[in-house]
Amino acid sequence: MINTIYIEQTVRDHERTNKILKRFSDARIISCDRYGEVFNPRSQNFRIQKQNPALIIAEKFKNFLLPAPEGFGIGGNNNFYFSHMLNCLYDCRYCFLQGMFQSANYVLFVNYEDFMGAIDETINKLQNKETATFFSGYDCDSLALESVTGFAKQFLPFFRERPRALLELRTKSLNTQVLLQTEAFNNCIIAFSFTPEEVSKVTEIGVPTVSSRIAMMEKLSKAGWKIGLRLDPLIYHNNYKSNYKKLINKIFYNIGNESFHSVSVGAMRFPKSIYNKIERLYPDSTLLASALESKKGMVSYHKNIEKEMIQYCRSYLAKYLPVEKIFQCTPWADE
Amino acid sequence: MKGALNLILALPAEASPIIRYFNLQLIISEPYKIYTNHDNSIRLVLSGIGKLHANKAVSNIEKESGSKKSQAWLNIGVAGHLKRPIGSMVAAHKITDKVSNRSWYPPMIIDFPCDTGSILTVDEETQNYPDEELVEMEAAGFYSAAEVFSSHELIHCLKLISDNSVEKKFDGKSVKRMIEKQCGNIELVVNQLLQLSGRLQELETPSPKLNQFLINWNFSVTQKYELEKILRRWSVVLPNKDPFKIVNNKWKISKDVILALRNALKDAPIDATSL
Repeated sequence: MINTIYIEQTVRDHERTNKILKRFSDARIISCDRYGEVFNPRSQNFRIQKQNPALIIAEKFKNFLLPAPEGFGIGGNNNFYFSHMLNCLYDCRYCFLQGMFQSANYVLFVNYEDFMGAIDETINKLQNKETATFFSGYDCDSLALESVTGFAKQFLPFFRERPRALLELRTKSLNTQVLLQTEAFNNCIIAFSFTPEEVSKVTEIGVPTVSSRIAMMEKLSKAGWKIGLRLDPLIYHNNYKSNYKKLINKIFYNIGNESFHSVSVGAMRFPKSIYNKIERLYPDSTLLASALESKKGMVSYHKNIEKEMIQYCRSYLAKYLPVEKIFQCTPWADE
Repeated sequence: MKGALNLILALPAEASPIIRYFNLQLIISEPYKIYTNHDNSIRLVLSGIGKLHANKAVSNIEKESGSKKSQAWLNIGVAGHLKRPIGSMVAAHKITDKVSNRSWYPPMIIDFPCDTGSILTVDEETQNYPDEELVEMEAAGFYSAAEVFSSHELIHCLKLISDNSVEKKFDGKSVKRMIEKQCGNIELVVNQLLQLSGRLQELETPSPKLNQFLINWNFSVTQKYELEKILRRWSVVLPNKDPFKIVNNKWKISKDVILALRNALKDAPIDATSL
């Protein structure tokens, strides 16, 4: 799977690096000073690299936690995201990462303890009863490379002991062994993102089928884990109403309403510069070529389409869940 | 679609087996000798020794080739190494310029028929070999120029071991023989780069309908750029519909043509299976 590994010299002897190297003993090893030398140069082609990404093992020095972008929240007031990895195992045509990063290589920051330190520091600054939410699946899929990173295995016990910190693991992966082997706890949400099966088949390359992900959600909910449902991005197409209806019905048919911590919905959208880059990479993609328009530095569906899709999905979801549990990732779409 | 590849070699002894193998003909003699094959998909430039020459030769051939962003680049030459066997071939996975200490990392997306390794580019000949790196004199100059013009995935270096700690002497004849023996392996790399370049070229190619529009209306530079974009979208969203029929010469102003095409695209039905 991974046949080239770049390693920053300072983490060459790190315990996690050694474990990874043992696992990929045939990989080509290339040393570098800083990961940015490999990851950041301009004029790299994300699309070509995505066919066979390399792994870059690195150390993060600052900005361990960042404020979550507007619309990312699920009810809490203090929202942060942290990225132990950059880039994702899957190849979703709507993913903003392909326009955000120069390279499709995976960057793994192995100094997890420094992330934990930053999280503790943030928790310590909270007022008496305040809580904070920490999202881990913003720049990567939280679980897809768990067998390589051991990320959840390290962070689950950490969060379990810190009830004022809510962890969201966001994923499309079935790689949930670590969760099934761990006793569920309240302040952790396993959030799965979905598009309808018809859309997923053509736009989410390498992603497990919708049915298998629903089955995994069910398994996790039965094990006591709180589930998050992320219908973000919503993808416009003919029959989108019936396809989203089918998807929502299927999910709630299999998983009890009480297992859901939250649902969030948001239409496909990109900052303009990111969209332009992705469009250059995939000029042959219908998803990126149709029905989108540019407004105020963002590229998204026409306001009416966006509003209609969000309203439709929200009201349909409200059949199953109280509205307090349904969040909108693009609150500005209502304006 | 067949891509385009530029080969950069320092010396005639290194180049002559390649020129013969790929059946290249001299097309330009000054300031650099440039050779090409029958369909102009492979070009070879003789740069002379050293990173500055390699750098200038890249810029020169880029101008000659018409500045295509999708063209690939391959530097082939000889290098010294502490213990690698004479005549063995290595593809660069890291290139470091000894003077500036800057490094480049050619992305490893090619299936190389040989080992990969780190290369140290030096300014003067040396037989003090580092423990790991290959030592040579062109790669950093070559790469730093080529990265300006093409995507990193399309830029690579192949080095043949001409000397090591046991055999330090080599001459033009031995270099020629070494390269001759590796021509088959070099071809494997050349073909992959041509294929990759071809795929990118295909994505950059404007819609065949573009000319039809340009002949019939006067578009400003900005409009032409937008039209290109719209027609490219058209070919993926409405592949079976002729965009020219939508406008049908009804509109006299180019602005209206663009608007009509844009609206037709906006209203196009989007089937989930074609996303």
